[in-house]
Amino acid sequence: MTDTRQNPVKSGLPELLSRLWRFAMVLSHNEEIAGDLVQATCLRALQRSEQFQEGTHLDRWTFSIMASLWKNELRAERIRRGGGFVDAEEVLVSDGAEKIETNILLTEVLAEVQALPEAQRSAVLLVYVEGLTYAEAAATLEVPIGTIMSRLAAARFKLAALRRAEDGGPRRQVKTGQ
Amino acid sequence: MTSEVNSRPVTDEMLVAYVDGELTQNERTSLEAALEGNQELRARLALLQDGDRPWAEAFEGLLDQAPVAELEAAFAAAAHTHAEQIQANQARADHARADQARAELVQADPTETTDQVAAKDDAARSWWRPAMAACIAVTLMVGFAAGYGTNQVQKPDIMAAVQTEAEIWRQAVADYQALYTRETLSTAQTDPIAQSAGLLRVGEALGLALPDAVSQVAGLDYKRAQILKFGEQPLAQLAYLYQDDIPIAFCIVRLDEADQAATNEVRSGLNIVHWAKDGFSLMVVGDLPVEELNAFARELEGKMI
Repeated sequence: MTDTRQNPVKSGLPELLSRLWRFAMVLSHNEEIAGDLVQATCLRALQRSEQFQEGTHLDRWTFSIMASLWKNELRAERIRRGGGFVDAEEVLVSDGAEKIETNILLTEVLAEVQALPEAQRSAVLLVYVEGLTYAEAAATLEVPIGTIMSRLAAARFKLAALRRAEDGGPRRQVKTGQ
Repeated sequence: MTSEVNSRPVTDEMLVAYVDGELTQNERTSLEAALEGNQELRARLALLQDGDRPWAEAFEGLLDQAPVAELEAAFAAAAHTHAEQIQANQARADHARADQARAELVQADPTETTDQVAAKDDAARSWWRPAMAACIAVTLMVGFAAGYGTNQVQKPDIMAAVQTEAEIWRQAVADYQALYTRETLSTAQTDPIAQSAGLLRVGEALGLALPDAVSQVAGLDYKRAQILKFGEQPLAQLAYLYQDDIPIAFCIVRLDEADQAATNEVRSGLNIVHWAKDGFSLMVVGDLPVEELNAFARELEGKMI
């Protein structure tokens, strides 16, 4: 049996918890489900710790477990609890809003991202926030690289359109499908 | 290689990859060349750049909101569950063998003391070893004697003379089955839920699912499932009673033999039907006429698929 003291997954997970929760929030938009998703991800990672190759990125490996769990098991639960669709009202900026209210621009960014479709949100988080390459993000979400590129382009067009609308500048109809 | 990019339309995907620094140097150079003098392309690029945001800083704030204590509790719960699963997996394999062997010996003689049971338990685990050694020794001696007797130069075919592992297994099961009487099975649990749980447990130890259907064979009264041991391999034994009188066993072990269709043989005075499938060796054994035993075996074989 694996000696848990030398299990890099078990020793490495605790410091990833906040980032895992952030990804879970981006995926689920729901604090309760995000907590469940983090716990399920930890358990699955521990169960598969023998598959983890030491020296590779534990964070990316764990993100891909979370993405897979979400896609295959927990998203259905989320939609069921949400009564058929994922509501965008429960937000990334809910409880902690006042903490970061000092920077309205940053809060706005979260609000804008949360209005994007889930597929675009997860691509944005992995590439623009977590700093994964396109190839790494594609592997994590189990989609082709081209899909990551389309999602990022669509997200940027959507956000650009929002800004131009606010500025009263020229509007452009943009498709933001996933 | 500017022509390659120039020869096909520049997509939004290429533009976003350009903005994100994901293009190779060559792709980058060609795309920049394409942007020269292409107003529409530059407008699209500008729009994509308008969609840029201070992502990392914005999401840093979200990181600060993480419910750290709850997440640590969630991790601890996951680690606890995982540790329990590991223990349960080990205990299941260990206990299934020890407890089932002991339970069987207790059933045979309820007056025995624990020490006697434990001693028998050890004996039961190792009884097949001398039997196997004896089989090999005898067959080797016979093989060599045949070689010497005929006074031929060619060596005796030792491998052909030695019994295969599967033959030794079937002999062991037949020897054991010959000791069974109707009373051996008289105390078995008949509660369907307990029987179903027993099949599940034994199937897990064996590494092969045992469907409930194997306990429902017309003409056979299903009694119980238990795990025995053949060498280091878990051996599943399902016990039935025929006409409330004759013990019948359906036994399975993983020997990794090649697939084999059902075949009849007689060992220790009992009829046997045996076959192999997907690495598992299976046999039905009992003191029944071949035709009847074959019919039950066919039914069980069908239920195992």
